[in-house]
Amino acid sequence: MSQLPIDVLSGLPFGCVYGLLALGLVMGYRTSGVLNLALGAQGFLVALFFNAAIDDGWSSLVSFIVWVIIFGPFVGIALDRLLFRHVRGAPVVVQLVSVLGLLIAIPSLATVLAGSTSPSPHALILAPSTIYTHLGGYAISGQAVVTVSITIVVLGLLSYLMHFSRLGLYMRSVVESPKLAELSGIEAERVGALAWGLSSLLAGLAGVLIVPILHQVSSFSLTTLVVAATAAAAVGGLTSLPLTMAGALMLGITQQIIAGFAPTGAQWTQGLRPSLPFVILGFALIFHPRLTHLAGRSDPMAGINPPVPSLDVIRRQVRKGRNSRWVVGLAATIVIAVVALNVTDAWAFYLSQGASYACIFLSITLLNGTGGQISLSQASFAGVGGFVTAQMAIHFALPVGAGVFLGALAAGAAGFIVAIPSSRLEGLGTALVTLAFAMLADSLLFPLSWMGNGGTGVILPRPQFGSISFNSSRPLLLFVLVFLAGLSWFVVWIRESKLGLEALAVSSSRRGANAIGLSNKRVSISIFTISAAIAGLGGGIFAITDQSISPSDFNSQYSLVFLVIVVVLGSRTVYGALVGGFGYVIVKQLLSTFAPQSFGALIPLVVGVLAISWVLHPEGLIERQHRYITQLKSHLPKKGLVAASK
Amino acid sequence: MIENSLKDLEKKGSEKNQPLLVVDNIEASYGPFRALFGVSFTLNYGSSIALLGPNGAGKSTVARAISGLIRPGNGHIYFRGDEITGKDTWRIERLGVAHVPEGRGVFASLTVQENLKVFLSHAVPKKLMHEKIDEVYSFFPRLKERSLQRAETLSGGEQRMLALSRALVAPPLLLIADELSLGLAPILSQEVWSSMGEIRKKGTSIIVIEQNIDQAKAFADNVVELSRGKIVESPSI
Ligand SMILES: Nc1ncnc2c1ncn2[C@@H]1O[C@H](COP(=O)(O)OP(=O)(O)OP(=O)(O)O)[C@@H](O)[C@H]1O
Ligand SMILES: [Mg+2]
Repeated sequence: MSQLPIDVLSGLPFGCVYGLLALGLVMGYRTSGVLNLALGAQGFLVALFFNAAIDDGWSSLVSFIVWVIIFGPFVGIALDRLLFRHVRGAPVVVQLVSVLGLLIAIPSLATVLAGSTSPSPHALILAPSTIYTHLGGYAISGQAVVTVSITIVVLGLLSYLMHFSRLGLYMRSVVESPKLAELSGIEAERVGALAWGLSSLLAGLAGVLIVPILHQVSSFSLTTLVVAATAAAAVGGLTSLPLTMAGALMLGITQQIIAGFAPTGAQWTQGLRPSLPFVILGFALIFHPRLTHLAGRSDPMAGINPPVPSLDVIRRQVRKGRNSRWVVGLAATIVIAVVALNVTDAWAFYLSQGASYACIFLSITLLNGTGGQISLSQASFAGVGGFVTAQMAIHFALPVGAGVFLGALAAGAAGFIVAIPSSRLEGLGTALVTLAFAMLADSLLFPLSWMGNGGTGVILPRPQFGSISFNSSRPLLLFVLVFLAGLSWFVVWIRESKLGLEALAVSSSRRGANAIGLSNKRVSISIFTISAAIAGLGGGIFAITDQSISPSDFNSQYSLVFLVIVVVLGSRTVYGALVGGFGYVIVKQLLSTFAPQSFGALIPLVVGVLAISWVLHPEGLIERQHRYITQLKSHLPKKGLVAASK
Repeated sequence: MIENSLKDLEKKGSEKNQPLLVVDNIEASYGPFRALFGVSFTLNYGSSIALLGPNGAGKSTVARAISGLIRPGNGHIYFRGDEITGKDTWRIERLGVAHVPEGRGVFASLTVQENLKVFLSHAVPKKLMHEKIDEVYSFFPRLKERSLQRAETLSGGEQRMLALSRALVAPPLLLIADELSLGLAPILSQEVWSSMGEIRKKGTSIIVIEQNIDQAKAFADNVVELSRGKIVESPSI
């Protein structure tokens, strides 16, 4: 019997689940322009409650009705009310932070609500692995029957809804122009909410269907399902529902075929299957004609919206005077000296770890604050930097300082490779390409023995300069802080250099920059490469501080958290990155010392909630403080004058 | 439904010469750009106003403020005695205000027929939908030929016909027509103007924004001239 049909059959359920989730993504994206990367997490939430309820003795039908049919859409509608509706038309980075906030918060919220023991997996109907029938000699399991038939029914209902019902017509009109739809008396926001409800229903369905296939209710695998779904949605150009479904089926089936044909055992083949979605996502983003112009949606009423304030205007407000920079420099020196000489050895260790995070965060400050670009792979670049540093030290006995430098070069090279395709895209496209890279790094690059060495990681010594040893953490901290100060200065310097001003011009208006003869690509690739190298430096410092580094230190999820932290604290000044880096380790340390263990699970929830609250005040918390103070300063004498003239 | 309220009006007849729309000292901005600096005027039941002025005077902005597309920063707008300032666009539409925006004003990715269904969705009862769409087709036979084509494939003039059709077959209480006949061939333009006259006879009050000054003055009962976001007290035109 041929293997191919078996692979196709066993890939079909996966394809269906990817497809359901992908349809949900596309529905949401089309009605509000937000690509909800948290949709997999929503599916997880529904699947968790569904299975837990059955554990508690509910019948699967009742549990299905309550959790999938009622609770699922409710989550979508609630999220629309609280979040999505407010970020419609907002800059991509704001939209992204809002969904990343959810992505980070939902699994943590779920453990808080449902406890940390995961329920046992339950099938909706039919035992999943029982063979119910044979089709042309091939066995058909319960899971295949259920998943495929439910998907077919859903597809039928969905195409009817979109093409033959009033609601579908309204949805399509709202997608194109909410304002024009409102001029015809259609309540665009309610239509949008319904679309989100539907999207969330599909997510819950996907979650409930995948659990018996995976034999577990796993937050991680359900949450990351969204990447496969995004790949499928990308095949459909984020618009076409049929193409999206076709992409999803193709993805599910190809994965099984690869698993069937590839030799087992080799490191790279193990990574191949999970990384297929990322490869497809990358290709679709780079070659799909519609995706290269994601920004250009054709709302005939777009002329009504006020112009987005140009970045220059914003930047001018935050730019600081030269004098105050000297003051800041002096203050930094004093702080460094006092801190480095007075902390305990343990805290010196934590603080230099904080400095390494600050370094990585500065790479985001540069990339986002100056370059206006978004990257979801800064942690991966840090990982590359850290691993190369470590490998150089142990295999070539290079001085660790040189290793850090080489690590930064390697990270810069990786950044350059990623920047080439992503420079053709805008906003969301860049974010997705970098996400694909981060996932690839997780599943293919870091497990390699000469890179991250799989789960074990790499162990390395502390550096030694002549007679100065950094084995004790205090000298290391001193060195790292001075280095960090230099790097902060460098990031500010780039912003005010020719390249920085060009990047500013490009990010304010790609077309405008084109018109004055600036090459977007050269500018954005340069900034991206430098930023990746800086992240690599951070990874190197992390490695020498920790004296070890493993893939779990910088997996793709950290990239999301890092972006959220920096953007929320403010990516337009270096203070956001510095506060973020040190704050990150200090908070973590304080919590682990003083708070009960269970608080650890709450951290993501807090980060997520912060991110979401930031979305309503997108200038960044630190920056807002800063601007408030400058405003106060500039207001005081004016008021005085006015009062005097009266 | 609006049709009914139009009939109510006819029956009462007493509301003639009462204000339908009062625009009281509104100001509006787009981000940092101020577009209107205190504009006031009144429109009575069944009468019409031509809103004139050079490009960039703020005519479209006034229209947008009335239909709720933008929120005035200051001032008040009353419709049938109730304040509608800053209300949602769809609510204002359902009160009987139809705003045909300037420019394309159609859903490019929907077919002609789907566009009509959306435009008429809240203006006519569900039962009458087909009848009204046929009415549009008899007014603009070209649209009938293209009823299953996506609107983006129509010519500029055809798109304009599509955008206007709602007002023609389901006259609202207040019609705001921005650049009414722009892009229409002269003969068609005449037809549209004469059908405007018929709509007015049915009791609809009309605000026309028009570059063709003579046409607009011949049509409207009153002229309001705007310049740089302010009303010009002694119209020069
Ligand atoms: N979306 C927008 N963002 C910024 N400014 C705008 C926007 N729309 C209009 N404006 C400005 O507001 C002012 C009034 O514009 P408006 O469209 O109301 O003019 P108009 O009288 O309708 O002109 P036209 O006859 O050219 O249609 C203009 O100066 C215009 O530049
Ligand atoms: Mg205008």
